[in-house]
Amino acid sequence: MLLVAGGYLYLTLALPTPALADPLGPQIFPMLVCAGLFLSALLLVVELWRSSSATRQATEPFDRRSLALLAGITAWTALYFFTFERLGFLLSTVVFLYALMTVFNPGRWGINAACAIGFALGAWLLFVVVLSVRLPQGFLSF
Amino acid sequence: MDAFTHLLAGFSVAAQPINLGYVFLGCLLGTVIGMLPGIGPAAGIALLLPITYGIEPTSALIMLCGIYYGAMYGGSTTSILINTPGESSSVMTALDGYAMARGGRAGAALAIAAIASFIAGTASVVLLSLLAIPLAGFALKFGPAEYFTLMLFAMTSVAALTGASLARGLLAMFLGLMLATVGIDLQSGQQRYTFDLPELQDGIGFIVVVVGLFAIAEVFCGLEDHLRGRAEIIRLSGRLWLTRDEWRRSRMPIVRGTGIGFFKGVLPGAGATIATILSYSIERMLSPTPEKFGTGMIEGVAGPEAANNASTGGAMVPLLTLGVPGSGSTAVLLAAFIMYGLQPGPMLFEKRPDLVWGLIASMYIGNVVLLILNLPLVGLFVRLLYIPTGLLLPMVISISAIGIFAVNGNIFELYLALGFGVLGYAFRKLAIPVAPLVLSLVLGGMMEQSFRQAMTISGADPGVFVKSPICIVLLLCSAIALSVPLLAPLFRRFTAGRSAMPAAR
Repeated sequence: MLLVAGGYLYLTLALPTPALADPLGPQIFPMLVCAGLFLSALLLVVELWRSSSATRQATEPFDRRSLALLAGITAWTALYFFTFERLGFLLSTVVFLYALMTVFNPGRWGINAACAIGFALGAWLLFVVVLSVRLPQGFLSF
Repeated sequence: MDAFTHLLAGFSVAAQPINLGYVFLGCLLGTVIGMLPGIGPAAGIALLLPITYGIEPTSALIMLCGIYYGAMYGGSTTSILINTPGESSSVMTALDGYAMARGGRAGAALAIAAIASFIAGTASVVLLSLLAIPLAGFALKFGPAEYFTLMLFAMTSVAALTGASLARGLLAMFLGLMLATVGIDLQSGQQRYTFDLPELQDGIGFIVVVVGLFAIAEVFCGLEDHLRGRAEIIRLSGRLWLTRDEWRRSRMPIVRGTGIGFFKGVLPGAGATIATILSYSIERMLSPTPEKFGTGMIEGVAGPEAANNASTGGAMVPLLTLGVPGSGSTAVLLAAFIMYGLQPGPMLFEKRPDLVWGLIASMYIGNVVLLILNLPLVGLFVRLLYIPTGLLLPMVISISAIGIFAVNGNIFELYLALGFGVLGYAFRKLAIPVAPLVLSLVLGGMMEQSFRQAMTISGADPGVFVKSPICIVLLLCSAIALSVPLLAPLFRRFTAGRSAMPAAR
C-alpha cells in the first residue's frame, strides 16, 4: 500500500504548476506526462491487486534503524557539501572521509586516516594539477 | 578502391610514432576519466580539450578519439564494479554487469565488455569506411515525427523489459519525463517548475541525477548492508577470464549489438544510449530465459557494450559527412574541429582527406590499444572490489562530489545529487527500477522537442505520427514492447502445456 501512496503523491506533484494561460505549447507535454503518471499508478494498483499477499510483503520495509542511518549519512554529506567551498576541498574531504571511515571501519584508525588523507591528496593531484579542474581551495592558499 | 588508398594513407599518418603515443595517452586518460562516476565521454573530452591546445590538429583530434573510446570503456568499468554508470550509454551494462560482479563473475564481465567493445568498434569503423556516404542519405529521412516514435519505442522497451513490474517501470519512465520538463522551455522561453531558483533554469543535469540515483544510492544501500552485517566481500569465483560457454553465448549478441549500434549511431541524437537499450531489449526477447535478465546474463553485457562502441563509429558518419553531430560526445568533437579551423561536412572529405582518413585509421588503432591496455588491467580493476566497504563507499561519495563539481562548479548540484541519492535509495526499497527514469530524463528533452516540432509542422494534426512507414513500424514495436510483459506469462504457460508442438506465433 506504501507503493500506491507513493504513486499518488507523485501525481499531485506532477500537476503543472506554471499557470500559463495562452501558449498551448509548453503545456502539452507535461499534460501528457501527467496522464501517463495517472495510468501507471492505476496499473500499479491493478498489479498489486492481482499479486498474492506473499509478494506484497517481499519489498523490504523501511525500518527505524535504516531510516536513522540514512538520515545520519545524508546530514553528514550535506554538511560536507556545505563546507566544500568554505573549507576547501582538501580539508573538508579529509574530515568527511575520516569520520565515515571511523564509523564503518571501526578500530582501524591508522588505515582510515591514511586512506582519507591519501585519497584527498591523490584526487587533488590528479584533478587540480594534472587536469586543471577547479576545486575549491577554501582558506588554504596553494 | 579510392577509399582503400585513402585509408592506407590514413594509416601512414596514424601510425607515426608520435600519433601512436597520442592515441595511447588519450586512451589511458580517457579510461581514468570515464571511470569517475558522472563524467562520461562528453565531459571527459571537454575536460581534456585544453591539454590538446599546443598539439597539431590532426594529432590532437587523434588523441581526442582515444579519449572518447577510453572514456566509454571506463564508464563500463564502473557500471560493472560499483553499479555506477559513467554515462547514459553504460546504464544498460550496469543492469546485468553488476549482477555478474555480485555473482563473482566481475572478471568475465569486464573482459567481455572489453572484447565486445573492441569487436564492435573495429567493425563499425570498417562499416564507416565503406558506408559513410550512402548512410548519410538514409539518416536524412528521419524527421521529427520519426524521432519521436523512435524515442518512444526506446523508452517503452526499457520500461517494459527491465524489472519485474510493468507498472513500476512505466512509473519510473514518466517520472523521468517529468523531471526532464524542469527548466526553461526552449520553444516559448517559459520557465517551468523552476520555483524561482536560477540553478534550475537549465533543467536538472543528467550527471546530477545519475550520480545521485546510482552512485550515492548505492553507497547508502551498501553502508546499510555493512552495518547489518550483510555485506561480504565478493570473492571472485572461477577463472578471471571468460568460460567457453560464456564466450559462446556472447558471440551473437555482439554481432547483433554491432549492427544495431552502428545504424542507430548514424541517426543524429542520443545514438549510443538508444542503441544499448535496443540491444538489451532484443537480447532479452530472443533469449530462452528472459526472466533471468537482470541477474547476471552475459548476453545483457555483451550486446549493449557492442552497441555502445559500434555507435561511436556510426556517430562519426553524420559528423564527417554532414557536419551534424550524432551524439553529445561528437558534438564536443565538432567543437574541437571548429576550434582547429576545420569545418566538417562533405567538403572535409575532399579538402582534407589526410585528416579524415587519419582520424578513421586512428580509430582502428585506438580500438586495438584499448584492448591491449584494458585486458591486463581487468585484474587490477577487479581488485577494487576487495577494498573494505567501509573505506570504499565514503570514497565513492567523494569521487561523485568531484565529478559533479568538476562540470559546473555549482554546490547546488551537489545537494541535488544528494537528494536524488535519497530518492534512489527509496526506489530500491520499493523495487522501482531506476534505469527507465534516467533514460527518459536524457531523452525527454529531445522527445518533447521532436513532438512539438512534428505537431508544428503538421499544424497540430496528430495524424503525422502515423504517416510515414518508419513511424508506423516504430509505433508497432512500442506496442509489442509494452505487451510483452503482460502476455509473456500467459504465452509461457501456453507453450509449457503444449511442449510437443511448437506454438505458432
